[in-house]
Amino acid sequence: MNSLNTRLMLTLGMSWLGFLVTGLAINQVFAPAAIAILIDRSYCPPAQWQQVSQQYDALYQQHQRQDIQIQAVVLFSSLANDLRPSPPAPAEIQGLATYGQPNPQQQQQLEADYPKHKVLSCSP
Amino acid sequence: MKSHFKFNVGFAIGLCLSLLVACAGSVSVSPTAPQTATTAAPVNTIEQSDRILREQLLPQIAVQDALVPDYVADKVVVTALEDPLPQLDDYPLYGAQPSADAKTVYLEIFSSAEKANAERRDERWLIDVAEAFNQQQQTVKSGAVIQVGIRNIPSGLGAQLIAAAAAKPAGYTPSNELWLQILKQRGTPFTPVNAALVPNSTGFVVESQAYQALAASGEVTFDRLLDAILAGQLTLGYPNPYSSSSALNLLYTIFWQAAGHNKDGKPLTAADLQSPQIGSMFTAFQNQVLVTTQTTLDLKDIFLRDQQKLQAFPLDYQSYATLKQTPGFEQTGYVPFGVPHSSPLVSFKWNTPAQQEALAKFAAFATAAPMQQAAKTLGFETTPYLSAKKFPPVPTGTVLESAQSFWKQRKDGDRTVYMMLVIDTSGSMDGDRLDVVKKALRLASGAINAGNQVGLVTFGDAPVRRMKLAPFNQLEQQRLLVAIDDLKADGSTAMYDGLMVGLADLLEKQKADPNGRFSLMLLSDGEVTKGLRFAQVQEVLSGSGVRIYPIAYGEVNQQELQAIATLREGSVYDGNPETVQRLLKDLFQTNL
Repeated sequence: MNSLNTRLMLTLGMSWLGFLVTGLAINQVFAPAAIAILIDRSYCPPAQWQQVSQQYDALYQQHQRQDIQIQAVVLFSSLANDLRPSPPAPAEIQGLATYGQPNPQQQQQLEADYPKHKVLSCSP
Repeated sequence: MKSHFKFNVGFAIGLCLSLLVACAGSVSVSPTAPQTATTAAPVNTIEQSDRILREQLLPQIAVQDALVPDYVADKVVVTALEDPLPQLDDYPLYGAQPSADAKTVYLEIFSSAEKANAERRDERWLIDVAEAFNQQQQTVKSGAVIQVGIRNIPSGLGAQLIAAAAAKPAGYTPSNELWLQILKQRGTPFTPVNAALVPNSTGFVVESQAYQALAASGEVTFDRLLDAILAGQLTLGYPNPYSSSSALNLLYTIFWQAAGHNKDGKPLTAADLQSPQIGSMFTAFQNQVLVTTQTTLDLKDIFLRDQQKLQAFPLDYQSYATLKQTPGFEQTGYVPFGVPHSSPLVSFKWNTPAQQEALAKFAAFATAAPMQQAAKTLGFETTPYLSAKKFPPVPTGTVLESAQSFWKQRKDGDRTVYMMLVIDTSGSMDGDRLDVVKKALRLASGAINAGNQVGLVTFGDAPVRRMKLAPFNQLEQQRLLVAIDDLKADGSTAMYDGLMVGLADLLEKQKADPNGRFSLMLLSDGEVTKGLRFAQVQEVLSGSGVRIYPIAYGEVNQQELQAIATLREGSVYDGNPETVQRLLKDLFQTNL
């Protein structure tokens, strides 16, 4: 009786462990893509900035649905970078003031720092 | 016995009733109590201010209207008035005084204030140098003794006087080279004597918490500070870039950065100023500007009073070195920017050969080790910023003047400025006093940007509304000129009645345009003798959201005017018939 119980417990335990390992494996294999969003906030005419903010909105909604994982949002300009560890709300991006010249060198540096990235910019 | 008891009880009851009635009566004995009580309570919102103003204060004021009709205004011919030059005598001369002695070579040098202010120990370096030099009795080749006088005059005003040929000093040492470029552009040639009399730079003084927040993620550079300002994280103030070296340097540096020349190292051009890249950065920057003042001193006062509202302002490093030791400034940060403020010295073509020789000898004396050591103790140091030599290139005078014009036209961004002028026309203003103010107002009216709104209220025995707030255009300028001409001095001083009428008109506009900038300029020459008093209006002023610029034009209650100014990050301006023209021009230039 005792040996039956032991085997039952072992089988049950192994089954749960199997479930767990499978779950983790599925989670790893089918995990949402983690990307950084690089937003160029150099001067952008309002109509074009509207398009940029709509692109961000779409990505933000995907992040909310866990289709993608936004690991960081970086706002960059010719002056400095502003790193946001958690994605700002789309309304904030829509209301951002854009100013100054584009900074291609800074953009290249950020693209190198974040290999998986998406650049949002209205510069050609 | 029984009747005696009844008498005692009746007496006691009667006594109690008498006391009760007496106490109840005393509560409403003062007829002024309700007025004071209504305004003594804290007023926190613009709506509350407006309600109290209309329900409780305006009913006590008998305002008259004397508005100028269109057909009268339309007949006025507007002629551009010439900008009056500063009066040289308003700027003190230290060291040796002018001499007609043939055995003396006299040099008068125009110097910026940070090194020629005899009133402050840390700002009188060049005066001390001149006095030490004069004592040495150095001579030129001819044997004549050199004597030097230092005139303390702001760099911009010095350049203005020299360019207009209204003054011919032997030497000129502004804070920075930018003024020399403006001088050159205006057709006044000069010869460099020394590129840098003392090491110095300018930068932003930044409130402690804001500085620490930036420092938490790395070195606080001007780029990062500017980025934080543009992102709306800091508020700032700066002086008038037409007269302040730090402000002109700041303006140029921002435009240079916005044009992307911090990457390619090229100087700013006039064409750059037309680009949307510069316009967009300047608009975002100006949105964070709390106040534009006439002098840096005003900014220091405001910063000391409320560092949470005004978090950054520009100041020379040497002044900051002293300031950091005073209470309230110990924890502040400093972020240098722009071209150096190293006090170049130049001479002019009207100098005699002996004066040229004498200037060279004076420059050599000033830059020798003992004088430089003395300068170092006053904060004139070669800082890491100066050592790094990563400065913007010096632009042409044309570009700098274009930058000043750009600032004047675009400083308000998309926001409309509403300013009510409240002017004292009481009997004590009669004669020259009012005539000078009228002349100053006529002149200053030329500095109002189209689209901004200006109104005029005067007060004597009672307030008179002379011009309603309306978008400034040619007709409104004509209307203002007629209204100014009509001003006559008479009666007592109902200052707060006038102030409340002006404020009510501004708050009415505020309802329609909450995003506007609202200010009121109050000019008074005497004590309040009629109408409302300060205690009755204090809370309404405080909650109104309107910035007030009081001008003390004579014997006024300075404490009350200071209290009014302090309510909204302002300062009291001292005016008199000699200075009021320049003061009003400055106020209109920076605020309208």
